Amino acid sequence: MPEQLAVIGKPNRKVDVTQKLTGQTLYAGDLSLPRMLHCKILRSPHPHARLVFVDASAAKALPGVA
Amino acid sequence: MKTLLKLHVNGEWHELYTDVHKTLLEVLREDLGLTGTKHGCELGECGACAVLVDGRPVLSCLTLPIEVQGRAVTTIEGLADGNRLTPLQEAFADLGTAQCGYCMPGMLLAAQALLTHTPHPSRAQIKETLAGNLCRCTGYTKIIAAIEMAAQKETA
Repeated sequence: MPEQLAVIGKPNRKVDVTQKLTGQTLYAGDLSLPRMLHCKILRSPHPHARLVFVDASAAKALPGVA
Repeated sequence: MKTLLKLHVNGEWHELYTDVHKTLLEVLREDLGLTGTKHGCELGECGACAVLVDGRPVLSCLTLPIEVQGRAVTTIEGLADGNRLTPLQEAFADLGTAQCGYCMPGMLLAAQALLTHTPHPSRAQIKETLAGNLCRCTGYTKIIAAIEMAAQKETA
């Protein structure tokens, strides 16, 4: 019976091995699209604080900020 | 401020004009489009950014491009010859070594450098070589086995 099986019990490479081992797999950070925006997370410096208001006017005034 | 760089990467010369503050990692990924080398910790602790410089593993997140001008830089994209994988890559593929695959570029380059300089490494030598390459998925067992398999096949 085993010799009649083509996949079970036989060595099989996963479909994505070649891409992963040659550095071709694209992870999220590898994507680059025209006019794409970049973001950086600003975390609260205050633990357990309640967010009341966000004043982003200075950031928005910088060139290149969407 | 920008600077002119002449880099030798994967057998080819490249002339670039880019920001002086960029690390080799950023220049490889952003200026040369070679995204195979990965951002990991950016501190020199994880090995995801490893490339070979004159055959030796180097952490590209801690290297400035000017340091490798005139030297041979090899990234993961430079290992295989088109579709022909190296024996090391074949061993990794056969054993199902990669899970998410993110650590693989750094792992393969570090392992390749080991096999080039030490064709018959002991398991201890393999483990020591990989000490600088972290893998969050696999537990390293198959990685070590694949390197041993590749070393044995090279001598067969």
